[in-house]
Amino acid sequence: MSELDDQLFTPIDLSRKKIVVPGTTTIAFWSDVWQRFRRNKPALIGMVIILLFLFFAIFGPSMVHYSYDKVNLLSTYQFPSKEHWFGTDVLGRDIWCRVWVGARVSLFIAVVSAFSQMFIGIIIGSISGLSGGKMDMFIMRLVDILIAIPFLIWVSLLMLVLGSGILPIILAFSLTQWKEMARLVRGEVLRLKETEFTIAAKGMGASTGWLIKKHIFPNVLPVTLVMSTFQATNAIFGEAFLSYIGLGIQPPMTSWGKLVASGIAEMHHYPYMLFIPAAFISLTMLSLQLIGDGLRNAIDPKMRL
Amino acid sequence: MLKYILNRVIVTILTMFVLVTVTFFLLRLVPGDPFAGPKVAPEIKERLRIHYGLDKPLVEQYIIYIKNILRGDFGYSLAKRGHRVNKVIKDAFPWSLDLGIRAMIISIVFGIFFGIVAALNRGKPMDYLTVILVLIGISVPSFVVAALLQYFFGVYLRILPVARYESFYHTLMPSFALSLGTMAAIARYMRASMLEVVTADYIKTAKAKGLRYIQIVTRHQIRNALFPVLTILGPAVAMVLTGSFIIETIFAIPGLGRHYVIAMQNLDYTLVMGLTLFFGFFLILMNLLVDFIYGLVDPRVRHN
Repeated sequence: MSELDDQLFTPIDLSRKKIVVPGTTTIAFWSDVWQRFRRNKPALIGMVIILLFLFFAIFGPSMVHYSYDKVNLLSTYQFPSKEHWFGTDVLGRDIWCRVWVGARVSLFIAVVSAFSQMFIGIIIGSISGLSGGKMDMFIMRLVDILIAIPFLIWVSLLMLVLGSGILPIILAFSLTQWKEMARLVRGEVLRLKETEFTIAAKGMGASTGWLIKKHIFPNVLPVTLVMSTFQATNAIFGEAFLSYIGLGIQPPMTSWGKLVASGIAEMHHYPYMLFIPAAFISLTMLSLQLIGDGLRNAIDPKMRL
Repeated sequence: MLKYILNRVIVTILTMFVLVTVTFFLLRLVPGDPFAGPKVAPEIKERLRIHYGLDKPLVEQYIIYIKNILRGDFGYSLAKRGHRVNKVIKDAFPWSLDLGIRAMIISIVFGIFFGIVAALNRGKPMDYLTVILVLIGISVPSFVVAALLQYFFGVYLRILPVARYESFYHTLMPSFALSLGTMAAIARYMRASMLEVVTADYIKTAKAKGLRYIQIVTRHQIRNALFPVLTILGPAVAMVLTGSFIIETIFAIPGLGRHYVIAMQNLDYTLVMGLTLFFGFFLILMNLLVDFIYGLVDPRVRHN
């Protein structure tokens, strides 16, 4: 056999055959995480509570024929009853309505700021971890310096500059909360850079973009998700803090923090005004904490605290 | 060790400098006029601006400010005419310090205690109870805890004073409300740390030597588990400090936190700046202290 016959070869049909690339079995990974998460009862309960709150935040206000800002001076300070499920406040506004409109604000702030600081943190952390050298040194020193001052102080200062409202709050949280995330991502990137599969991919001539897309990002994502769940609780607390001291949401718009603040002012005679929003804030923070714990245990059993 | 200390001190000074600079320029961007008011004539406003040096170029103001800070002078409060920021801090700090120390003692003692109890009873009802308490402590916001305590003990049962800070009984609710979150964090950390060292070789050796259980726990397990918990003391101080903003406001305690909240509401930006820097310096120095202590007890840290 001196010559190879062309007919012995057929070109591979690339479109039909699934090309297996090492390190891309993310779908199996997430279903694995879900299996472990599902067996964690507290985390599952937390998720159900959050989903319920989201449902009521969307449909709750339209279940009653009041509106959150409709003043009715003939029915002020009504205790919870058939007419007003959660009672009414100083201006006769229906608290059921206000709780769920407030939920929209509080949950929106929590979700958006958790994702935006995650986004900023991943970008800055990856730059720091991948570039190394002076750049890395500079970013990490900056993070050290920013972390030395509590986030509530940074947020309060920023709120003075940005003014009050939902967007300034989200902006203030995103600008101050990325630092922990960046530190975490940098650590992960440094670890991943040394793993066998990254070195193997590099050895096979993979570009930096490919490495980030296929090996770094999918492996960084799980831990950042866990962290951003915890950051969401910070955002809920931070919003409540700002609203309490008067720098947050402005009336007639409301939020859970605002409702607790007015509840504290009225609690001597109308304790339900404090108990109801306080219960919602606490339950939400508890649920997010449980979800975060569950996710962390499901994603990386070694991280268990 | 010397190199480690020197490194920490340089980072500390740098951190303080960045804090001063950021705070100064950030607060110059704040919209609104501290001298605004319907009855204030333009000439008087102008005079006030000159009196407080606000007519000078920004860079000059910044240099003056840095010079004053180096001399330990935080300037005047804008909203409380004639009050020096230093005076406000001097008057208010003892209250906050008293409350803060009480809260720290409660959270460290009970946090470590609960952590140890939970770890020694791993998987038993006592452990679950602690874990649940820790979760509640971490997730229920301090102002909710404070308001509920105030309602039940002050308004409903009437066994503790509702507010103010005058006797031992007055200190109970604020210091407990302030300590709860930190206590939970310390308990959680201590529990994890205890469970981590329990598999260590020196514990096995101690068991093999035939030491009694109580000796193994106190001499080997608890002692070694305490070291990692030291690192959270820095963040714990920060938690207590920011917690005091709300607790002092709710319980009407004339401390720094309450002044900080009021200053922000009044747009009193020299006072906000002074208090921010004071909080910042305090925390940075506490962190430095914790680092030193950690370097002293754990040789691995200072050689790294």
